[in-house]
Amino acid sequence: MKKVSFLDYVYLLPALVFVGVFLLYPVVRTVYISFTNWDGLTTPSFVGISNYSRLLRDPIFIHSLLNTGIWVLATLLLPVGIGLLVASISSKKPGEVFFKWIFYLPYAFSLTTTGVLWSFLLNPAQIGGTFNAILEAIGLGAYTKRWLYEPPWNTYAMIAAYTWQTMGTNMILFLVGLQNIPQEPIEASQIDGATGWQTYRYIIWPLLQPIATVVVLMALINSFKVFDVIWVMTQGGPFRSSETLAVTMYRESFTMFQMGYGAAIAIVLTAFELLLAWIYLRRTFQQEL
Amino acid sequence: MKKMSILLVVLSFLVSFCSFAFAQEAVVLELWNDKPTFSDWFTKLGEEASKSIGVSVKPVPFADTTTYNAAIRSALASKEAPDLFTWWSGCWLEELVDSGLLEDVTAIWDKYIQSGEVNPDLAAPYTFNGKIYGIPDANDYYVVFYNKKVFAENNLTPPTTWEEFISQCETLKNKGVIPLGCSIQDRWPSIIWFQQLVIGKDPDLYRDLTTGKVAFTDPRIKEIMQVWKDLIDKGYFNDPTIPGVGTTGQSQLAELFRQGKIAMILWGDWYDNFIRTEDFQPGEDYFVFFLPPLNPEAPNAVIFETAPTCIAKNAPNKEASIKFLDWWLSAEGQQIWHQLYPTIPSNLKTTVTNPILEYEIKTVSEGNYQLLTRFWEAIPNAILQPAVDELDRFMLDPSTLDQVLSNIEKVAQEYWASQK
Repeated sequence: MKKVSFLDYVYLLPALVFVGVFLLYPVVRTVYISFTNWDGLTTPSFVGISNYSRLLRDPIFIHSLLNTGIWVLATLLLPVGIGLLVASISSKKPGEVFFKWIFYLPYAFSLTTTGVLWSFLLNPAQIGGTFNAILEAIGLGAYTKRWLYEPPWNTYAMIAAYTWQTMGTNMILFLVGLQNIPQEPIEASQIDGATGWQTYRYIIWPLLQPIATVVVLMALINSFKVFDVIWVMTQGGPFRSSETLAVTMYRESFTMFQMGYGAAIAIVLTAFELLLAWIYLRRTFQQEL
Repeated sequence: MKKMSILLVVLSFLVSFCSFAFAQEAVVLELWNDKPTFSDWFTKLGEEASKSIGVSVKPVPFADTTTYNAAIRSALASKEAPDLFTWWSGCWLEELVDSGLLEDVTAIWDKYIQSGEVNPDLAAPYTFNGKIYGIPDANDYYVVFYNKKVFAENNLTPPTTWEEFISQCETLKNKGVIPLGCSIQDRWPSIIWFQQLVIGKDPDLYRDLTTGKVAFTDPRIKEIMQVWKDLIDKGYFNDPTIPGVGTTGQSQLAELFRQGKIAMILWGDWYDNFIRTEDFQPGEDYFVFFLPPLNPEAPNAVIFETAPTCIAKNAPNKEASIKFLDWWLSAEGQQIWHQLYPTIPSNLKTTVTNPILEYEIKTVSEGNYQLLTRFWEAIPNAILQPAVDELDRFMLDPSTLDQVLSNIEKVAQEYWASQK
């Protein structure tokens, strides 16, 4: 084994500096700020754990936590689930390219653009909101809504917009996974008389696990981070009803200028994210072993 | 020796040329702002300033106000501070002054006040502990825009009493026209009707409310909210979810007003920029009036929004920044600015060319109107933000009136108690 020389460490230095300055320092600084009452202008004063204890009695934080839970669940069910479904139905079948195009196209838009587009669609029918106009046209006028202003419908509407934009990527990843599955075990199962569902459940799905792990993990992390689409469509409103933890963190820090409280929310958000990612990965790897 | 002389002559020529070239090059100041639509106007203002005083400005716009707020707060105390930046008056400015982040520009004001070119009252929202911070880049009154064609078709003229105003709303509603336009897009516009109704009841009540001397649950405030609720319940307002200010590229409220589907919109006079088109001009197609007070005994009062451009204490080009603001407040600077962006000029020698502003200035002056700072700048941010959210809630569901007032009051009590 080659002895590690001083020069090797020098080569590592740029990466270490980069990670240190842009990742570790902000994390340490955020932890420090979360124990202060900093307003972004004056010198921060140490306030102990009061920002953290306030979280427990803040109804806005608790509501935001529940909304985040809805986002996480919905993101795992919809963009991942539909992505898997479309990939499974269209893989190696006629029209696969067509499906790829149709479902992947929205990914070309940023989430901000998606938010603006969907805001137009969800507007009141009075000013050309397409969804409400369609509902009225097909005799379902009683179901028209102020989609972005009625909780919890505003959260559901934004999840629909998010699903539309992100589902295509998951589909492509699943398609790649499906196409890399060798044909032999599938053919063997069919010779043994397995039904389509049995083949999928016991042959294809286990072989798709490595890709599925990555897709689910990415979806999990992204669902915690979701911000842009909410900020563009509702700014977390009305009356803070559609905020997720990321939006609450932003509102508290940059609208209310309670940087200490905002930092505490950021730490809790990160802790949740790391915990869930760790549980998921541990479980996945245990199953594989 | 001869060669040496020639060399010296050439060198001195080069040095003179370079000095001349540098002297001619204007200092370019960064002007940070949250007004992307102003970029061309700021650039042209800078070009004119460059011709007059050799100082120009380069606008640095931020599309999102919250992001802008965060950027300014973190930049001001650092070495990356901008030269100039636009801000809000009142409580917003006071916070930066208290933190020692702004340059005192009292000398500029003194110069123009002494020459009689600037009304000293204009400096009030920028004055803290006797020093003035910033000069106005916009001065606006909150007035009612009305569609002249719709008014003419229904034989209406601008109302002079509250009762007449209500009767006109009823007439318009019966004719299938939405009498009053409103919006809660971007949250903040929910303050517009609230502040207007309170000053229409009693300007002192408004002052006391914004300084914590009167509770939001006070019976007079509840009575005012009840009036607002009645207006909503009677169907005088449009759906408030209709976009009003177009930060996402949508401003359908103004479009409905132009189409004559909405007859009146109470807003800051800067909303003129959203209403005006080549085919829809102030004076011909629409005009403004001052909303008659709810209480006929109340003195004349109008909501006044004034926004400053300030110099950062850490500005890299402080002297040039002071020179620029001095020029901007001069009759020449204000005239150029007024032609680029028609706002109420700060310099009295400016010739007003906009018919709406001309009417407003005359009415305020002749009617001896009290100018009351907009709710956004008048009340501390810790109360303002939850209040805006609660007023949004009320506009979406007026039956929440009691809950809304009690929620705001709870936050207000916490804030004022923390200040004692």
